[in-house]
Amino acid sequence: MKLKNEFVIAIAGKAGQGILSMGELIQDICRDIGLYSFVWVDYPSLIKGGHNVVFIRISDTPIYAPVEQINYLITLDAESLEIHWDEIVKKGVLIYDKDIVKKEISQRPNKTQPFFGVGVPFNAISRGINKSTRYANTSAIATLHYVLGWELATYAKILEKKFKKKSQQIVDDNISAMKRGYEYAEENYDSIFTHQLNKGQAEPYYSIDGSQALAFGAIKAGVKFTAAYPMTPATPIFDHLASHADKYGIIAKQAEDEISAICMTVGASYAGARALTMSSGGGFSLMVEALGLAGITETPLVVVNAMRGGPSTGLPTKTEQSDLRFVLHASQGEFPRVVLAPGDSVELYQLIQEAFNLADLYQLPVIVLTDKYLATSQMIFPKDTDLDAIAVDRGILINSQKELGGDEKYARYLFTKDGVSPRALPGSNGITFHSGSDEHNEYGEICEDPHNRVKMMDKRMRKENSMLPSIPKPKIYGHTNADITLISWGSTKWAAIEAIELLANHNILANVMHFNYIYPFNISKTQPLLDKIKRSIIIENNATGQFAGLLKQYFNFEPEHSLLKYDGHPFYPDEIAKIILNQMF
Amino acid sequence: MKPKKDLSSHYTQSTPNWCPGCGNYGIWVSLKNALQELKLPAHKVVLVGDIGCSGKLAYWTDYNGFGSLHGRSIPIAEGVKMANSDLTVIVVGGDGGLLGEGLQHFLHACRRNVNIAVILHNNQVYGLTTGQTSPTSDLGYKSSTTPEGAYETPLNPSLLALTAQATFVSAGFAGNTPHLTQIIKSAILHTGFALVDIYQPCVTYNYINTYEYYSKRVYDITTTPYKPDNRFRAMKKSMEIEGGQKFPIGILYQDKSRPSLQDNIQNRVSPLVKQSINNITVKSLFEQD
Repeated sequence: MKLKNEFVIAIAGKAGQGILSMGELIQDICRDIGLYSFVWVDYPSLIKGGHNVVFIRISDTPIYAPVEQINYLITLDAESLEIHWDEIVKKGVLIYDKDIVKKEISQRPNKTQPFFGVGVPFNAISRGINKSTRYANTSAIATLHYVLGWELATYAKILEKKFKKKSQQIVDDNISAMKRGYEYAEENYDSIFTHQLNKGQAEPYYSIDGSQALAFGAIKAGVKFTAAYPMTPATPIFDHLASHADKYGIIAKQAEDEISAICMTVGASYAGARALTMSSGGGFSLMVEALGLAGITETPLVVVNAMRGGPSTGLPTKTEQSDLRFVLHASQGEFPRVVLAPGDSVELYQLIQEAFNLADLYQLPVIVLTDKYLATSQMIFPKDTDLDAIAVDRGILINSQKELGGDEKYARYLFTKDGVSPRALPGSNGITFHSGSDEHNEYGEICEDPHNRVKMMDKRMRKENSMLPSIPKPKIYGHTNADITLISWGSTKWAAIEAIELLANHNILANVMHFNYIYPFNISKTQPLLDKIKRSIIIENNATGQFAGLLKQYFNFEPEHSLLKYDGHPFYPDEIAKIILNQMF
Repeated sequence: MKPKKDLSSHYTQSTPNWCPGCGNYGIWVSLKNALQELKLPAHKVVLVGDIGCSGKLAYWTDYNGFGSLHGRSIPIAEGVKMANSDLTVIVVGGDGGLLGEGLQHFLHACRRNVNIAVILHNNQVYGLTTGQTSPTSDLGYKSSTTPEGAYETPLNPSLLALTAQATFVSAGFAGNTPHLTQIIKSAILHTGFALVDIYQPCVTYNYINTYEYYSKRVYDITTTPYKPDNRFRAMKKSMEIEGGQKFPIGILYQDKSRPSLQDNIQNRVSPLVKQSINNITVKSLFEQD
């Protein structure tokens, strides 16, 4: 299948060998020389050792998804070469350390080895500089420069910038390692450029991972309190908030468990701070009772569930979209809630802000679903994105008894037409009120009166309807009148969008219908779009087609095909296109 | 917005519905007296109730009340206090919620030294669910869930709090409201985590630990030479109850020197709810990463 003018570099080795930093460094170089890049990682659940890979996809046109191929492999250990031997494309390049990979590697491709081999003694070079192997990775990236036909100037500049803070000696050592890694390759290997990308083409962009995008969006939305308990892959969001807590006046509290984390968050929100908690499915399972507490007390609450492979401990460091049904129904009883599932860095940044607004406006829990793939992939975030596009909206707040007029007793749960009762915060001058997990009357007093019960339930549930003007319909990418529609939600967005470009090469006119507002659906705006679909395939990172089930339930819509993936890995555009070609045509 | 005035029917519980003679009344009165004597404005006080007979107290005063979840009153109170340090935050809960379902929160709040007062209604029984064995029930206590008598030794709340380095540990008796009022006042005034462990008779289910039982056994430690300034001595003092004969009431331990969570936080950030969030700029975050 023909791909864009692009290639993928994979760096493989053991955890702790600096693979992630190498990926970031290459991405920095790409940004500086005007190429697009997309970085994703694959790693097991351990701290040191094991097999880790970072993939850097590079192109001169915008790219937002992973692809399943390796053009250039830098291997830092012998094992990685065995694992990826068959994945290196024909006429690809293997970059390795001659002293570590003992296997006979040929310089030119042959029958048993379809790729070029470039062996450089990175570790020996490093030892020659300061008796340790700390600069081996620097040499390896320099060799990659030779192989790609890139000049070293940008790389040198970035190394200097990066290590200047540490010491001039470290800068100098890095530069030496860089030069020797390049020179060794130049002296011993013919030039084998297989890709020529047009540098300087990329519009300026930031590369940020999904956790950063969420954290930055939350800070922008005015999050003031966050509490969490460590769990992969949600923790980086908390770490980013904690690292910027001083500057932005945030309290980031690590709690003793997820139950405490969500309860602290509910408490802080009840008191009036915008508050956030996050976890993955296991931790979210523990949070479930307090989710209902936010529901019945009508306390605004934003929870991020960064999904990973389940059930139970499952696949701690792999991706999946299998908690959708769970979060939709989590906690006993019935109460209104919102579920959002952003599809890329910009959506993560913006939808977390919308989540805070919706939580405040309608006084209910909002769950934002991400996954390991989004949380850890370094994505393009265009520099011209309007960072201030979403204004803070806190809904109706009563600040003092004066605003109520006279000696009217404040009713926290006043019956209103839209179900939203004006909210006072504890500490508001002259106002006291009761809230609680028991069913209550308008004043928050425990009340089991059946008429009140029905009225109060109806008041709360009405909010699902009154918020509909704030709920957009799904977005269509590509032709509005396509022959085939790929239905995706959350993180599968760009793999699907890139797949329609690949299908176009086969004269198939396809488009993507992407949902990021998952619940409640804006049925009247969405139904006509579904009715227009000619042929369809739904793409989900789970085993049971959870979103397809919702489409059936709410729209009586059944996709013609479904593409379900639950091997722990994200979707690749070519994989989607191939299956559509094979099964639908 | 004109809510109907006559909503309270017989279904509505706006005043206590504890059993006649319940120890909760003594605690209710003492807490209200303490708050009144401290002259705290009602809107600046939040009572966070656990679940059970005791927790309902949060609904039954003219102060702000938040009825939470079983075992989770402490983390909710911690969240309230962290968001708005101007509020006086008090937890009301029982031995089941605070020492059973939510024991981890209790211990971590102690070591966190979060500035809240915890009023532990310790009646050694699960009352609202009809008298089951609780974490502080005496050995051999018979109930529907332990017909042969409880095998587990009871937890000692004050000793636990001291072990987790709580900075204010005290005990009171629901049958001695003037004394209890003063202890609760001191707990509220303490800067840091404060425990008031209250011996509270359950007149319906607990026929052993009655008013009479406690009246004979409690003694005010201020009538002895005891000084609450030594953690080790306080531990020893707290262990007196384990013989079932002597129940010291009063302040067992107070450490004013350790900074509270709020002391640590407020050096860095101003009260969260007072910060404006309308025009926050984040461009620098994108630039640096």
